[in-house]
Amino acid sequence: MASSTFQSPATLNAMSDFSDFLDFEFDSLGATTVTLPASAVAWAAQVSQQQPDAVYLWPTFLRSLALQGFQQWLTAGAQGLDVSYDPTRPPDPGVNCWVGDYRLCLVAQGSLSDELIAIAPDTLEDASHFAHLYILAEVQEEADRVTILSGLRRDRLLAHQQQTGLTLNADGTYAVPVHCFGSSPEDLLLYLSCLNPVQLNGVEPVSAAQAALTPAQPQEPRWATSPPINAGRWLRDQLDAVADSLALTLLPPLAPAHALMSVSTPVEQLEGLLRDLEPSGLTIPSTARGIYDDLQRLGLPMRLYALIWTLFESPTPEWSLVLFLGPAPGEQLPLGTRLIVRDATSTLADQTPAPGHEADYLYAQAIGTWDEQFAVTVELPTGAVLDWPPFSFSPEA
Amino acid sequence: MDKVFRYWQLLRLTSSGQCQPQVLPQVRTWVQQTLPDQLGNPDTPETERQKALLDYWKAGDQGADLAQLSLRCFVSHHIREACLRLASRYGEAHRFTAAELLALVLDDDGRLTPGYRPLTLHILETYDPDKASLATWVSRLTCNHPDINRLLIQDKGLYRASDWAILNDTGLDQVQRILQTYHGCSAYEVTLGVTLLEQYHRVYRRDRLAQKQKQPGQPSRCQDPTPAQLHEMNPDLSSKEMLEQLKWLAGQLRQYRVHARGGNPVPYQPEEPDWGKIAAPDETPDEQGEFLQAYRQTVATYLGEAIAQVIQANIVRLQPKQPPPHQQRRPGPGSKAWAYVQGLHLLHCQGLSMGQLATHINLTTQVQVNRLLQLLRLRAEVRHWLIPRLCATVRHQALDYVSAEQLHAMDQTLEHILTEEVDHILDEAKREMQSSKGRGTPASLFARQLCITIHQYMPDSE
Repeated sequence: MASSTFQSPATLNAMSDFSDFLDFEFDSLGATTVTLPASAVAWAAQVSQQQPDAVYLWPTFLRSLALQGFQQWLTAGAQGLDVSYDPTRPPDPGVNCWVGDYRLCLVAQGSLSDELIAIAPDTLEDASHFAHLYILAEVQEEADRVTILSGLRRDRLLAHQQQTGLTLNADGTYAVPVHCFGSSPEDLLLYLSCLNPVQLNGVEPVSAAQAALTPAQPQEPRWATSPPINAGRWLRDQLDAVADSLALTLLPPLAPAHALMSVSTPVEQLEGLLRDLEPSGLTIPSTARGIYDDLQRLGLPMRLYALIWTLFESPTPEWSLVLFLGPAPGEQLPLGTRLIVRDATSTLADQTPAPGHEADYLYAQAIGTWDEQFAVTVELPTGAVLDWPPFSFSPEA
Repeated sequence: MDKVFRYWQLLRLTSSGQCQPQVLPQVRTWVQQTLPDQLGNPDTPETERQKALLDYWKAGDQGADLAQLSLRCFVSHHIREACLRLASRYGEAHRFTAAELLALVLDDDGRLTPGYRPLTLHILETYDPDKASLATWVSRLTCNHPDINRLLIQDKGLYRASDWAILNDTGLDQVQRILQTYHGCSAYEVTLGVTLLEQYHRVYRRDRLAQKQKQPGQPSRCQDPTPAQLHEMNPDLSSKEMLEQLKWLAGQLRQYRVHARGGNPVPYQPEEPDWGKIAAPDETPDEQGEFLQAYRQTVATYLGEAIAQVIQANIVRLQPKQPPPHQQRRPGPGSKAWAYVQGLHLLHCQGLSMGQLATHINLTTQVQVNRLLQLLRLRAEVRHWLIPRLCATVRHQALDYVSAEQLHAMDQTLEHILTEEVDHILDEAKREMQSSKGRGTPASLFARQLCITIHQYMPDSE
């Protein structure tokens, strides 16, 4: 068979512009290119041998190289970022490494540079193990080099899926156009260092796994049924009728710099919490006002605090709502307690005590424009659910 | 200007390695007499001239050798052009010259019957006028020349994937889709292509992996498959045929690759920002005086600390794992960490360019300096360090609740503040800087603060 059997019309045009050809043929050492040390290559060659199916051996090898390169790139900075993965197993095509709370799906691109990137469906659909970020890394196996090309955020991928749909490959993976990978390596560093991965969850349909957590819960937050609590009134030292009816208690203005700590009064307890939280970057302006709701009235050993203040820094004025769920003095928050905050379309926060930190409190913050409302739910380990009327903000009303 | 002389002027290397034109009178006389229409008329397209010459050469009649030599002359000019373009595109950053490349490929001595196969002849013999123009073919084979690739990849850090790497890294589903939708091949051709790649993978990938296992850490270009490998791939074909088919398939994939990289600027185009200077800031459209002022205040408070933290972390990272017992934070001369601090200082405070400062810190190329200093990342990391402080002091918001878009907005505002020209914030620092010896006074807030902060990491003699 002669090679000319495959004569194709694209041949003439594809190479017509030499300078384009040059630009896309050669790979310069970019800022995000790393050269792998022998130990990294040896690990990749070794660990990929565990892949039982010979057909997948080479892609597994490339992915292992990509992982080593990604790690080297991350650690070549001053931010102390590092990636964790199981060094005894080859990375699989799904979620294959972690940076902090980020679940990452590292996708290796060999020297072909395809326009379509295959991603494993689980990374998108698994409600509890989806990938927050996809990272595209080009592997130059001949040069033992890896270049971090770009990233794709889960929320963007979900949006793309909803707008244009995703094509299924024959092997059941999704084909995602490479131009969707629009986050630059610098963006990736920004996210991994500063962004809570929950922010990338995107709007997703309520999945079976989540439904299972709240058995027999008609998830009907009181959006439609109850009039909201107007938190804007708090700034004027007032409670509206709804808050009154719930027996919420208005807190005096805060003095977070309080010198000595005692935990006798609710406001002192809150001030203690705020001091503990300062290192996390949460500071409460002196203009903030709030309420607390003592749940001991319901026989529950906990207290919910809500603080609000206004934000004028963006073109549209915003308000901030911060919630703390803390144990009553001398008590602990039971494991499995959850604090959930939602806006009209999605869950903004879903906090539960980490094992070993039972004594701690949960907190959540939501920021929105003045016409936005937030629903707050506390879920108990028993499955019982407490929710409040939505918190709204109309300081003039 | 008609460049018809290229058909009788050969570019060749002198004994001292210079590229020099040499007129071949017998070729000139022959083409002017034999092809007066094509070569005498300046309006004749090159393709027509080449076709006439190719026809003469292929016919093998009298004058065939002269027609071939005339084409070799033409090819030599395009080889030079390819080398010039490579050098102008990558030479400065990777520190090579066109002359270095030409020394590897201009090997035609202009004899009618050379005792070897010069590159010019190899190009002509493999040329198919139906597939591409001769100029394009010359460019492609020149860039593909093994010696050039070796020089660029091993010595200069510039990489071009081999045919075999591309075949290794292409999945069967990919080759099927590319042949079908990009090249418009028939179902039969697609099946042949897929089968061919499958045969190749089975043998070549396996051997390559085994080699990698045996010798990790010795990056090596994939070599042509051996006759034994080719035979194992498909015992029914001769090695030569099998090799040709694989090369053809790789060529198809390579074309697609160029197309994919050309059409997808985000991931595939190498981002080579202008490292030498920090970009002038864009006007922020929604500049809100008070808001920016609050940001500026925070930046003014924390910038020195942020830069110090990031530089310190980089020094620690660049230092050997086990520092001498009395290791100071000022790195010792000659070390990598020392080069890092010196490089930042020379660039930001002395106004030297990356290329200029390379030799001062024992490096040779701009690319190496780039990679050591990582300026974009340095500035990004300073911003990332500042962001939680901004959240706390300006937004009164815990970082956990900042959305990706809010984060980008903060990051951009910070970049704006860091890179805008300053004249008011650091008046004192400015006077200090101007009295020092630096010739390029740093213009951005970032550069100025860096110049102040970095002194604590410089040797005392500085």
